[in-house]
Amino acid sequence: MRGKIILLIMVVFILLALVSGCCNPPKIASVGVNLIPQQRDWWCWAATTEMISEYYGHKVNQCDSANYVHGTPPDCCTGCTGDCPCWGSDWGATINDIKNNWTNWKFNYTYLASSLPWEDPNKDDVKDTLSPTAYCKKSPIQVVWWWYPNPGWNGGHVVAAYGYAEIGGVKYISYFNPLPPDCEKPGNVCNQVTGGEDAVSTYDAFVDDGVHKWGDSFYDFKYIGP
Amino acid sequence: MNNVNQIFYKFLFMSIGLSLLILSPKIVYPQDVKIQKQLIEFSQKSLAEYIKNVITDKNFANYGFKSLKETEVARLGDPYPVMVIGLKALKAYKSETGAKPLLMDAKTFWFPVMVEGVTRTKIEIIEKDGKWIAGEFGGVRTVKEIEIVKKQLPELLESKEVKAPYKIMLIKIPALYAEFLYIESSQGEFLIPAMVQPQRFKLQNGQMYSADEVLSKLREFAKEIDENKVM
Repeated sequence: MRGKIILLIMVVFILLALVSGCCNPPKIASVGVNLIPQQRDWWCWAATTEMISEYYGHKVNQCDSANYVHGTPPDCCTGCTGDCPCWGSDWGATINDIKNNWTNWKFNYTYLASSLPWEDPNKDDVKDTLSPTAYCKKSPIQVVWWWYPNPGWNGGHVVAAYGYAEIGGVKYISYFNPLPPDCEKPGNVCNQVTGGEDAVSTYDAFVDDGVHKWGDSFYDFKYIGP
Repeated sequence: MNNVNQIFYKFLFMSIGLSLLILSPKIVYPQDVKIQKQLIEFSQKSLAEYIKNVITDKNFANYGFKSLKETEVARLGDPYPVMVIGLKALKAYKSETGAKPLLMDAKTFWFPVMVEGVTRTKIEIIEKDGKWIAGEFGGVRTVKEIEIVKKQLPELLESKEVKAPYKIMLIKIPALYAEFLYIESSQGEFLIPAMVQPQRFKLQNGQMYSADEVLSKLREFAKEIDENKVM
């Protein structure tokens, strides 16, 4: 009898340990990412990289990303003064560029060539990725939107998803859009302006709103540098 | 015989009249009104939910509001239907063919969110799989550019002698981060830039260009863009 009680207690402890080791995301959660506007018209990928790397305490300046991916000269790190270089579509990035850039700056990450489901016990999902509670990933999501028609073949954009909420059956995602740029070049001289936007959308529209489709995801970052 | 003729002609005219009534676009008007009513009701509900569930005393300014109290009196303004022009279509634009063949219906309505007549932000309502869903709420800078142009609109239409009836839509070219008010009228198709940093394309906000002039210009910028790159 005594042996059975001990066995029962052990089973309960094991079950408790298993349950407490799972991510149980709450209904509303967010991670502490800051909005950083993109400094040039085609640096959404670099600006979201800056936002996310800063969150992990190892900030990668967007101009350094641009310099790494596209090479120098010109040096993209001259700020928003004078004849600031690195404008235009040449300074955009492909998915491979974004991957290589993360690796270069000593970040591991998970990449998916698709959107993340809202909630799925068998897959990584929005809730367990963004939730900062124990055993969850506590990770922002670098979301790649591809433009309609034929998403993937008409250019795209990157935003940083930082929060979610599930209220009254409605699913929301909060995200920072690094557009518009906080630097403008009306003539030969650049000016600093306000940029970037905080926005929210229902999950369904965030995935696909007829203008964009969520096509690629980078998340669960880990800094592996010194 | 005359009586027979009279009956025949009466019958003929009645049939033609009835057919015209049935075929006339006005017949679908009551259904349109119903859809519009549903759209407006859904949009108002979505705005109320966003404000209740998303806006806090910490983030109201990010959404363009001057105080949390302002959100209590936020109302929807008049919506614009949204059309999209894809990058590939723009690259292949043939001069003088106009905007219409390039336009793709995004099945979206763009509503300004207003406080005492002044626009603060926007909400987008999308028709997806036969249902309305709430899209992006937020975005301040782009909304302001659109609102500035909207205020100039009566003057602009007059300057080009554009007379009613005309259609107004919001055109997005997402791959260029470019937005326009589009006017379709018997005087032609016009595009009015309403975007951030229009000088990127040698355009000016609040100028009414022929659609062909704008699209011919943008085509050259579009040709430089790699379709696999993000901006």
